[in-house]
Amino acid sequence: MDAQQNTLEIKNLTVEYVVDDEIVHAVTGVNITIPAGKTFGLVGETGAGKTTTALSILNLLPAPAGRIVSGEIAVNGQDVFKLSPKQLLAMRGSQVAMVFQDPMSSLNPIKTVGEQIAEGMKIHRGVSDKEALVQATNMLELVGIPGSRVTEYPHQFSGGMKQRVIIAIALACNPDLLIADEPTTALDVTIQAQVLKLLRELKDNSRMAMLMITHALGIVAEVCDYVGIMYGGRIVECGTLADIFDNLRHPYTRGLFDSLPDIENRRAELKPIPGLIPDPMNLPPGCAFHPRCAYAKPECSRDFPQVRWLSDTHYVSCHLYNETLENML
Amino acid sequence: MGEILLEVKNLKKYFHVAAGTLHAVDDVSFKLEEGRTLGIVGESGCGKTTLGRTILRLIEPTSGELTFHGKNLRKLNTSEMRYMRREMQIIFQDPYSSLNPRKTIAETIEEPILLAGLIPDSDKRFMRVLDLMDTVGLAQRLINTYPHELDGGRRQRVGIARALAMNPKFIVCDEPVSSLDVSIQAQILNLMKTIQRDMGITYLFITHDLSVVNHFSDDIAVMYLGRLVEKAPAEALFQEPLHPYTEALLSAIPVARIHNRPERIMLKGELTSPINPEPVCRFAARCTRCMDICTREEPPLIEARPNHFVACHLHQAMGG
Amino acid sequence: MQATSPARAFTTKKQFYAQFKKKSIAHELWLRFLKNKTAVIGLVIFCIIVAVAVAAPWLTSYDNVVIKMNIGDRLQHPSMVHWFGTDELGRDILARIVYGARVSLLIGFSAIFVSLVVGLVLGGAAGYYGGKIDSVIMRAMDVFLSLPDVLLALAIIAAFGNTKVNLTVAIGLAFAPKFSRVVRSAVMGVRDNEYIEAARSIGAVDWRIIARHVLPNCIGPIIVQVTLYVANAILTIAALSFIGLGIQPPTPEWGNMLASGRTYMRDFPHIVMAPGLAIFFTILALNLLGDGLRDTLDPRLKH
Repeated sequence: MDAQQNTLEIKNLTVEYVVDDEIVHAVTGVNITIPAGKTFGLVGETGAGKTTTALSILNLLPAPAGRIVSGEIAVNGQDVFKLSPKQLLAMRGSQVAMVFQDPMSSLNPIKTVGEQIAEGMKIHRGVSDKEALVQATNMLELVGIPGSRVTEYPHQFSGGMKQRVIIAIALACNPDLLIADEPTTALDVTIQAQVLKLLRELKDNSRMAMLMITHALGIVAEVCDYVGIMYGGRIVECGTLADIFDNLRHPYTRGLFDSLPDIENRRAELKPIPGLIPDPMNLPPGCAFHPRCAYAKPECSRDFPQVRWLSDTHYVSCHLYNETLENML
Repeated sequence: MGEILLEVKNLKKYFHVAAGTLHAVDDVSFKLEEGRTLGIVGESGCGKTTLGRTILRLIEPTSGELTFHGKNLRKLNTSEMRYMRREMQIIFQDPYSSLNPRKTIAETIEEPILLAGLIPDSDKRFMRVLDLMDTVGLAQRLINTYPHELDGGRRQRVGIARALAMNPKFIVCDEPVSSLDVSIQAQILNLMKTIQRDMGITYLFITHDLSVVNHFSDDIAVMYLGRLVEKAPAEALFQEPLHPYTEALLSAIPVARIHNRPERIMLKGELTSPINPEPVCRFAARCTRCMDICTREEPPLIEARPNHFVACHLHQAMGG
Repeated sequence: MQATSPARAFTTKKQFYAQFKKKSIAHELWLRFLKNKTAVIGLVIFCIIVAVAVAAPWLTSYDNVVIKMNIGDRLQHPSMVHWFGTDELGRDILARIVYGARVSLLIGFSAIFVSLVVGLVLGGAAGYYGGKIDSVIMRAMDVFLSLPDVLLALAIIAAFGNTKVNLTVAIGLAFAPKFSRVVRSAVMGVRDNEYIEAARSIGAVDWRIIARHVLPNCIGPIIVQVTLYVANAILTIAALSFIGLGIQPPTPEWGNMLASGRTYMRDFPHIVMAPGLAIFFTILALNLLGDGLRDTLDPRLKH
């Protein structure tokens, strides 16, 4: 295997849902590249297409409504769409693991946490029952839960601990890629801090790549190396952490930051983005953000802007930058 | 200094559960001035939601005093309390379950006016509904829409219009923006601030989101496991948090910045149980600065700085 | 936030409502219902049965054809004159089936109406108030639920005499506990929604909350149960009549037609097949309809 190979490469992914004879353009032309050991934060609000993107990686879209129209997804160089169902099954859990938002519904209430952690190990690594229990205990310790609790049931754990159990299950087979879909949204802020610290440590101590889906820029600043801002099914701006936090270019990105209350300056009036989040079934023509954009020009309602590269790492899709690469905001 | 609109004294709400007595709200006291906003913050299980509902007597308090506009709320019978509710309203958290799916938004906003008999004439009443919709930024053409046709932000506006319908003096806001997307949250918060300015409303703003509460409140009270652990003007709380829990809470806020990130204070362990708690400091098990006395005695709420109250053995009373 | 209202194009509610019409929830549900083919079949069959039952007096004469004996014509196989043949007393079976439908449907629906009223009151109270009221009501219902429907109806008829009214009430009371259960769980499902609490916060009294906020949102499961229990009720009526305790001959009822035709079954199967098929299709139609309604009104599929 090429040492430079990226753990995850999504190229030009387009996904549709067919609902009652109407087509929902959930994801259009999305590109994401995650090298080994790095974390990519996919940021967006409701309906932006983040979860759909994540589910596509493992071909977990709800059939028959969800359809991958075009694009390629490669995990460790392997084309996911060319895999047989059996190979796909083998990949899920061992190479790619997923953590969802709601810890309550992700755990099986009638199995002990040890059994659930061990399950993946037994399936993917053919480990014996006894050995699996030992490893499950280790996994619990790794996520900060006393190993002795390996025989307890999910209802005996609090919300934050459940989420850590889920992370333990996800990590049980040493996946190369961890997909975390809003993993801390349902948690209290102090527990969130603990879980984020855990994720950061895991990232620093292993070569595991992570796709972190979130709507919170604060969390992105905490854990991520790269950031992609999604709106209306497309990535409108993408770059390193510094690119986005220090040199943002897209008006939507600006709006997201401006909507946040500033801890330092409590008197400042909030600057919300006017208007509503677009309905994926009824996206505005051209650039989906144009009805809410303070900088909109005539071409914004006609054509979707091309991608402009501002540096090796930073690109943006906005008509403001058609002529110039100067920051227009 | 304005008039005291609401005074809460030693308010308790206990629930009887199989395992014992759950101290949801335990001996909470504070005063709220007219026209100001008191933010109540805390994490799950701290009792803030129960507090909001108990103050309105939507849940009956176990003990304690509630004085609103000079009247003792606990002495009122059911119909007197119903009458009082015209002045005390509530905005709920979940825009999806707080509106009756079978009523149009006009019917939902009209209902409080109808019930109170404030405007007998049907057309005039309807005009008032339209005025309220204007106030909260809902287009006229939406009068006959059902909740499921609207997004979360608009539904929340309907909830706000309903709360304003009877011209209340006091509104309990129970996590009003937590279920909304970030760009919509800011819209609703700005709206609520404008309404407060124009109508002189007093808010009790319950939330778990510290950055929002800082922006929106004049004073902030921090709750932990049913007890009020710190109360101060917002700026004072953020600049000089006295209670170790408040410190940890503030440091845990995810900040959308990559430079000068604050040092995180990590709490040990998990929440202790609110059922049959011991008469000691409830935060002791997780506190990095726990002392011997904390495991033996419950710290009282005292004024450690002017107008800055804290319940912690680390801090003495002013001048003490 | 002006002190006075802005100028408005209209000044009355009616004018506004004329311009911005309400979207009809019923219409949307109807369209969704139509997509379910088996449900539509059920509805069609049921409508035919109801239409035939209603039109009975115009289709045939009660005294001359349905009741009057005509020994000369007895036990005739189906023919062009008598489509379903004649029974052991020479009466046209088709006519009797048609009138039998009237009896079954009338008593079936009336009985379930009784159940519904009792169920709404008891189940509604139990579900909304919970606690002791719930315990008391539900334990009482449990006692009745432990008895089979037919037996309970039988006991009431035996005690109070066999009349149509008694039959209706008996079956109604037999099904009331079941209905209470359904209403109670529907109410409990709705009760925890915040809009119920909101109604209290704006000053609504309990009865208003139950009538305007809770029950309208429970209609779904209740309507489904109504159709299914009507089917059960019709079956119960037929069963009671079959054993001689329901509708008495000469009044035609599918159950008693089955009973009297039993002896002739072997050589003249048409005598029992007709009422048998009538029962079968009615129950089938109601069940398909009920299932279709359940799917249409399923809240998870909404929006």
